Amino acid sequence: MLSLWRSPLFDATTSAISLLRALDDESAGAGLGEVSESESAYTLRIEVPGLKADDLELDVTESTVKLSGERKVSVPEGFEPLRTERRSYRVSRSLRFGKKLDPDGVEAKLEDGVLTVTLPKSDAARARRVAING
Amino acid sequence: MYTYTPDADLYASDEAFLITLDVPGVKESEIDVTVEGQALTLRAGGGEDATPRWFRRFKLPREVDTEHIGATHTDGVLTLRLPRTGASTPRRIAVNAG
Repeated sequence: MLSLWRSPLFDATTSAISLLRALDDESAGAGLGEVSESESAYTLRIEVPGLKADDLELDVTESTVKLSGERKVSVPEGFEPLRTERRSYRVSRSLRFGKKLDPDGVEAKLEDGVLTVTLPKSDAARARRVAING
Repeated sequence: MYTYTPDADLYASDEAFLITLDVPGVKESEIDVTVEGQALTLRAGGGEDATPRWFRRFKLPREVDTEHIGATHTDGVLTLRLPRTGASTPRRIAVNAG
């Protein structure tokens, strides 16, 4: 590593590092998660860039959802890291819902580093309009 | 719609630099990488006219061969490969008799 700093590449390397420091005033968006609710389902959306479906586990009961997984960021073969912001981490999130879920109806989709889980409410938990007989 | 700065890693070898960026939630067609002079700009997501979801600008080292930058996108991670100009081919200098 030291030889790198003493090499004629020094200038290029440091400018490459400084380029990565530019425009860092916004907070990073990776890892954001959100839950939305409709009449029939909850939708969980979480950003997990770099993870494949096999890296994630999802366990659902009638009232909870547990998401676990691990992201491992490794240095590409043959390369030296100059600056690293992307972190390895474990995902471990449990959510408890106020209304009963239908675990059999849950659907999960991983696309472009975003996991979307649709959690239908159980029939018993859905609000129903009741006809009033006159 | 907010604009976020994607986390990025920078790696180097004798032949190239690599920049990897987390840009979840966007498709290849929504990723726009432009090089102007020594500035590389990434805009991704948010649609044509809207504020991009992801934005980051890099100043490239002078030795980057900007004509041959490669980009791949997998699982929400964008990898840019920036070859060094004239790298990987050590030049032998002919020594002529005086």
